Amino acid sequence: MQSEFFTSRWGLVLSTLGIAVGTGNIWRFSRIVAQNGGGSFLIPWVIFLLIWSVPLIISEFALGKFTRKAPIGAFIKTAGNKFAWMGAFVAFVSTAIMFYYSVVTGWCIKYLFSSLSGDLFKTSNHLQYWNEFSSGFWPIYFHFFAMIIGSTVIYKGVVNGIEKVNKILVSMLVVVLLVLFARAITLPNAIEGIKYFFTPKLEYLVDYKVWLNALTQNAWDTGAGWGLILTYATYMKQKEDIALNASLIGFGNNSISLLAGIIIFSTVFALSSNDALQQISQSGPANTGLTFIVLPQLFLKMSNSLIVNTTFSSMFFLALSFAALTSLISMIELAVKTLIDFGMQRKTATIIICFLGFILGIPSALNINLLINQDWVWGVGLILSGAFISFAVNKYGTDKFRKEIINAMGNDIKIGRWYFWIMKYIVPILAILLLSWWLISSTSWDKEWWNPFHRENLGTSLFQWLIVIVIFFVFNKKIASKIST
Amino acid sequence: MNVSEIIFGLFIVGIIWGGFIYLIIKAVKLEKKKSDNYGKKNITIN
Repeated sequence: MQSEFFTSRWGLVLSTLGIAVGTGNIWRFSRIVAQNGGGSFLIPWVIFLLIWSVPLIISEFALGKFTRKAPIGAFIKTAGNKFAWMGAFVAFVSTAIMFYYSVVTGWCIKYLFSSLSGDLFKTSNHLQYWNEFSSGFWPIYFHFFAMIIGSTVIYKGVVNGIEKVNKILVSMLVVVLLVLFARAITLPNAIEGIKYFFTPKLEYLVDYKVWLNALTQNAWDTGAGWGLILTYATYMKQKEDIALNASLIGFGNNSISLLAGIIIFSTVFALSSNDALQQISQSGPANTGLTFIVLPQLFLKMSNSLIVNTTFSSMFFLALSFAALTSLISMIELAVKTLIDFGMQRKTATIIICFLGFILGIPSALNINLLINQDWVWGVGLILSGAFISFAVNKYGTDKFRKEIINAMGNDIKIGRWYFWIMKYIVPILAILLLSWWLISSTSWDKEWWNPFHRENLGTSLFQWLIVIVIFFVFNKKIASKIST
Repeated sequence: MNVSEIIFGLFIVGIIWGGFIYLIIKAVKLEKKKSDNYGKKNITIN
């Protein structure tokens, strides 16, 4: 029986927004916009928000509210016992991401501390600074710190932990971003960045890669199809709305991406003496180039006052740390809720997940190539998770799901028949297209594309997915029998 | 920036930020309505 619920709509919305808003909104979005023709990218990005993210977020909200179970139980109750392995895969993908995302959160916290202490500005060679940090043992300590903070929140429960912390962190994140926004757009020459950001180059719109990148950005950064929103939705009250809240999350997340994009483009175009576009586009090790190498150099040039530079740099890394932490908290909660569904107490489950998360994240903390491998394998795996969620809805009966669950009591907006077409046909087709594109592309950047021990290729993805799927498939009956629906 | 760029920029910002603000206002109004109805119900019962 569910014992804890979010106390209000705003507690639920801010907590769920905390899932969606992560480091991807801040460092990945700007880079992808720069690589895909600036303003042109924004057109498919808006379209996919409407036909991928929002329908999947609606589905996750409904699955969580209806089943009151984490992904495994939700799949059993909607798709049937035979498909418990699918729910287990969805839960595993987000948990595998948690192992290295905690390391990434640790990096953000480290740079926040370095910025606050002024240590970040004692050097002008930020590439060397990053390399020295990431090649040592410090990432393990910060990874440990991130796991402890996240687990403490989960240990305290839904109302006193998740809701309270997200209300504070997400609100502060928005305020900090608004202050940075005000400063960034008033920098000299910032208009050039804004101009690039919003100028559509129509030739890019006929490039299928721009569309696939826009879909990928929506799949990765709105949290749709991860199983995380589903988990938080298990704690929403019966009278709580689904459709309006889900739309708020989708639009809220992309609003923050837009805000962060304007900040980054204005800052880099205003302060960079080199090719600004190239600086935003470069990904660097583990896609960190812009955030940990370029931006600290630019903050140094923001004004002649070290205090001003330190303040704005600290605010940026504070926002980044908050964004990362709120997402990490939801990943820990998904793993903990899964154990709770197996009959474990929250406190015991939290201690186990914290310990496992720390131990299994150590390889990624020590070896950035391993982190990149895990990011590749499970990042693309998320598309499969999204497809599985659409499968569960379709197996239950798409229209039945819409009428009996989404449009049930408490809903402020009634969802029309468009939902049927999107979940039945569009989402599965998009998932197949996206998955095929990423996997086929990976054969072109690695000659030994079949080698499962390479960093980013088809072989390593299929190899790791198959291991996980086969294990869950073999133990499907046992898993299903252990979860009470 | 020429006129078409400004229009495009406003269009995107309008959809995303405008949409978000519209949804927040809608949610606030609905919450207010719900709490008003709850108050009325209590009065009736009493």
